[in-house]
Amino acid sequence: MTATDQPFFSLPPEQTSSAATPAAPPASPFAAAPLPSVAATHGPVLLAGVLVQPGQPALRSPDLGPHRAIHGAPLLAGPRARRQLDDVVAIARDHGIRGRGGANFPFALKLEAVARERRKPIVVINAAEGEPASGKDLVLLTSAPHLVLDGAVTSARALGAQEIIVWLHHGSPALPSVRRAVQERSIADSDLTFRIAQAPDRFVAGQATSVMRGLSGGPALPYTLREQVSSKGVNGRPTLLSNAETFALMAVAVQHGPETAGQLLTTVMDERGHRTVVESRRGTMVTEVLQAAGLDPQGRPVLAGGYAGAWISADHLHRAALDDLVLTNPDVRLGVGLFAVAPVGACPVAVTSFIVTWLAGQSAGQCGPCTFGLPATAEAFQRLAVSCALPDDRDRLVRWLPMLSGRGACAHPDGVVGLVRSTGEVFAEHLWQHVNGQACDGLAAMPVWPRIAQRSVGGAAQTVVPL
Amino acid sequence: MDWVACDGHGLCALAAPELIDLDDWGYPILVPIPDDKRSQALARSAVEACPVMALRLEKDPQPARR
Amino acid sequence: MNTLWYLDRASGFVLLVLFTFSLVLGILATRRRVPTTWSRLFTQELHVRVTSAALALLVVHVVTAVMDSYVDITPIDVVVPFLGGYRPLWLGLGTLTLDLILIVLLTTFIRGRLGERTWRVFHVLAYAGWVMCLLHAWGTGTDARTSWGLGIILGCTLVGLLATVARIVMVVRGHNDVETPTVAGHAATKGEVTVS
Repeated sequence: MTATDQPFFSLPPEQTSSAATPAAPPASPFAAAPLPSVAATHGPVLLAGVLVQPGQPALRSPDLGPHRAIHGAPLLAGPRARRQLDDVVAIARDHGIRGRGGANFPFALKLEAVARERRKPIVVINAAEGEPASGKDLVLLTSAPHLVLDGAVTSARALGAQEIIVWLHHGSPALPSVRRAVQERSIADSDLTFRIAQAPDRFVAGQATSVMRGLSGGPALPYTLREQVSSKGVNGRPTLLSNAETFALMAVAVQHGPETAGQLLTTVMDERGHRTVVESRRGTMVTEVLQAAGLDPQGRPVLAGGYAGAWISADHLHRAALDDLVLTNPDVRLGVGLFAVAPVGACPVAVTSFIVTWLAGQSAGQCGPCTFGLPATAEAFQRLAVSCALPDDRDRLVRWLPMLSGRGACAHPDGVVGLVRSTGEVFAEHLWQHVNGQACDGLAAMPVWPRIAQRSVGGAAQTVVPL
Repeated sequence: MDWVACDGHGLCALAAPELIDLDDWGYPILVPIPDDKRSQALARSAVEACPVMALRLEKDPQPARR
Repeated sequence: MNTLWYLDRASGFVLLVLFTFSLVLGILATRRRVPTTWSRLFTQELHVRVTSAALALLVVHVVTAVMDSYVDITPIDVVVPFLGGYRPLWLGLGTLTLDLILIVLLTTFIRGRLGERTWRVFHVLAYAGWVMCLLHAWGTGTDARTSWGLGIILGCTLVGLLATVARIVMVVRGHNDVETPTVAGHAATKGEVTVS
């Protein structure tokens, strides 16, 4: 680590179980929030060294040397790695590693699908954390980028791929750290080519087909897939595309062994927009995760799974455990692993209307239902939020929601539908108040969440509302 | 159905009104096509009617996105 | 064998009218905003049928021209332009018309394989084909010197030109595009993904 580098990673001298990484200045309008804090309920393994337990070594820097000291090296290296494809797949399967996209697709199956193809494959790490409130990929890429790269290297060698691309947003705060790690890696693993692709600042830029299109010379927008990405991805070559955390899990599985199975990261965000990335194990109770982040959800609306996720009722929250499909309600899913806690007395209808307005603005503008249906839904919901609903607003929404799911080149509208529907299910009474035109004072207690409402720094807090 | 190509011309719904409905914004709502000859013929004419060739007749499509 | 010659000339004039009609229908079929009682599908199908009829008549026109002994037109002149013995320039234009129309026909058959954009590029050749047809009628048509012959040619020219100009205006002004609500962040720009 050269002295002239801005330290994106430094630890205070005394360790507690909740080490906080220092807030980096906002690198771009996209990520105006400071870096999240970290915590853990189990482990930490992914965050080993970042979150320091008493008696355990600390990660001095995110560079390769210190990383190796804590995580070791990928065991499968060198030219004979190709024969060890079966081992890699077996490890992925035994650990139950799944993707973090909507389908939670088993990583082992992905590996096999790519391996079946004859053309030379390419590995792409999807590190574009489009969900504004999620911070897990950011933490991984700034504190343990080599863990992510280890997983990619293992997969690449097993598949016989020679190229690894990291897909990030322009101006992402993780960019300097990733650049540095990639530089080190290009020397350490010189038989592989590493590249960084920067995509525009869009929510849908993290969608699998957007990544493929963007890397194949087109715009970073979704398109209708004819074949699977695994067989025809970047420039028609078989592509292994997975989330950064998934690759990190692969590395951990290979380098730490079976006792690390089931680790995963979630982001917990409080009403001020302060985020904590918590490492847990599958099956952990959600309340435990929130506790580790220092949050008590008592009497507050909680949003689960992301902005395009769903509200979760208090009762559900207390019974829920972290898993691929978090809970019994199909609209509530683990998604990107976000739990956003709104302030006491916040109006969930208002919060939903802000989120839906932002999501509608993030439409790629390619498919009719999304381009027209989402802004229309947002407008109707805005009217609802200020209790000035038109007489047929409710009927319109009821008619539109089924029209917006399952249609279009990507699942962006489905996210909006899930969120709106959950508002109706979890806060039915409150929503009816709005429909009937009753004023709601919850508008005064709005959370300050990224992209949804902003406060000017210093001085009197001014909330800019995008209504 | 190629959603990026679809521009809401609506000719598919004109060609096969019993099979294809248009949503509030003029875009087709697709359903699985029954096996009988008439439906298959109607489906084929809908595919041909599309001026941007956004529709294709598929045997067993992935139900993920209609 | 004057019958063949007369058939050739008559079919020629009918063809000019049919092709002009097909052109206008093709342009009309692109319009989005049609009265609710009118079916765009009808226009599109009519375009296809009129063109098919024209193509059938084209076969007659070409065959009679070759078979007829009054003028020296060989089968090769049917596809290769400007080699013919009878008014080579104007006949050549007729040959070019046939060539262009054949290209449009073939590309429409394999439309599925070509993809929308490629197909469209070739289909635009139809305009050129129509112009060639017009010039061919003017130059070769024995009856073009008569008042009715001239009338038909001028009439078709006018109608076809008007339709083409209308189409150009429509495209340039974007009258046919769908009005999308302004959504932030969806405007794709060239080179928006940089790889290093």
